[in-house]
Amino acid sequence: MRNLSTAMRAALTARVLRPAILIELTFKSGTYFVHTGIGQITWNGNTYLGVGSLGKVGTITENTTVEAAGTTLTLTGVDPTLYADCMTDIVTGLPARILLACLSGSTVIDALVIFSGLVDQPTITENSDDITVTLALENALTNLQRPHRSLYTAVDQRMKWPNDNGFDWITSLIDTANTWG
Amino acid sequence: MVIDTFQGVSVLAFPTSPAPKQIELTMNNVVAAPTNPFTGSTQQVLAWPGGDFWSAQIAMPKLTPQQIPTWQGFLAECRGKLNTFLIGDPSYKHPQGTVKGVPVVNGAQSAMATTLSTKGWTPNSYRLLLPGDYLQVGYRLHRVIDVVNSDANGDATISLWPSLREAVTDGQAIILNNPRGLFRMSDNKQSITIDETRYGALTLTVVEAR
Repeated sequence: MRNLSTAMRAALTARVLRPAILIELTFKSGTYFVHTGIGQITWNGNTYLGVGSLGKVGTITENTTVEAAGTTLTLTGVDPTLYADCMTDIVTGLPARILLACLSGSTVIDALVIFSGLVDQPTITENSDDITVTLALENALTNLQRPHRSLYTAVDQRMKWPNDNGFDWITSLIDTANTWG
Repeated sequence: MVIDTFQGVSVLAFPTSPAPKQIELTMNNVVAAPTNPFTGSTQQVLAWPGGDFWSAQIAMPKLTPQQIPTWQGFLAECRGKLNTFLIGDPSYKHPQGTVKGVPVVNGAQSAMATTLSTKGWTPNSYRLLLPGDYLQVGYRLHRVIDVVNSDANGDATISLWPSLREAVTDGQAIILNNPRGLFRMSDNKQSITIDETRYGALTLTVVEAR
C-alpha cells in the first residue's frame, strides 16, 4: 500500500504519462543521480543527469511474504560517468534507490520510490562494439541472512559487558551430568 | 577533415560533392501505447521524455573515379560510429516563412523542452516560420511544428521536434539558413561498391549523435 500524492495520482492516471526512472547509486566517491531522459532534472534537492546509459531496469517485485527481492540495473555503453566507477569505485552494501517520476517538460511533478536497497557486485560484459554493465541491487533484508557473529561464551559476553560473569559456567555445563532425586 | 570536437569526439566536414541524390530523414519517437485486446482502445500513452531523435538514410549519386577517394577518406575518418558530422536536408536552404529580424534564444531553457522561447524578431510579425521549416540550435537540427508569429516585444515561442537535446542559454544563436544537425554512422561497416564502369555506389545510414 503506497500513499500517492494528489499530483502523482493525477499524473499516473492521465491519458498521457510522461515517465522517467530516477536512479540514485552510492559509490565510494559519492552518490550519483541519473535519469532515463536527457539533460538535467532536479528533484528533492538533487540534480539527476540524463546520461543516457540506463539500458534496462530489472523486474522489481513486492511480495506479501518477508522476502529479500533484489533487482538489476543494466547500463549500456561506455558511459564515463558510471562505467569507471563500476570498475574501480564500487563498494557493495552502499545505498541504491530507484524512483518512478512523472514529468511535465523537464519538471518533476512527483516521484515515487519503487526500490530501495543496496549496491551489490557488477557484472561487466565487454564486446567489440558495446559494453554492458549489469549492476545487481539487493534488498536490505539480505542483511538478515548474514550469520550472527556472537557466541554464547564468557569471552564474547565480556567483550560487550566486561563485568558480566554470567557465561563463566557455560563451558563446564556442557558435559555436566546431574543426578536427580 | 576535422572541423570541431563535440562531447569528446571529432566533428568532421561532410564532403560536399556530389550532393546526395536522395535523403530520408526519419523522426523517431519512443512512445508506448498499450492497447486493450478486447476493445482496441488505448488506455494510456507513455511518452518517454527525451526519447525522440533523427535518423537518416542518404543515397549518393554514382561517384566518379575522381570522387571515390574523397568519400573513402571520409568514411575512414568516421571510424565507424566514433566520429560525427553535420548534415541537413539537401532540398532545404531557407525557411518558407517570412523571417524578419535576427532571432536568438530568449532565456535559458532546459533539455527535453518541446518549445523554444526566442527574441529578436521584428515585433508583431506573422508567419515568420511555417510548419516543416528547420532551425539549428548549437549542433542540433529541429523541425518547426506550428506557425511562428512574434508579439509586440519581438518575442516568439517555437514548437519544435525533436525536443531540446541540451540546455540552451540566453542569446544563443539560431541558424535558419542551411540548418544542419549532428549525426554519426549507425554501423561500423562502411563501403563503396565499385562496378565495372569504375563508378561507385554509396548509401549511408546515419543516426543523430547524442
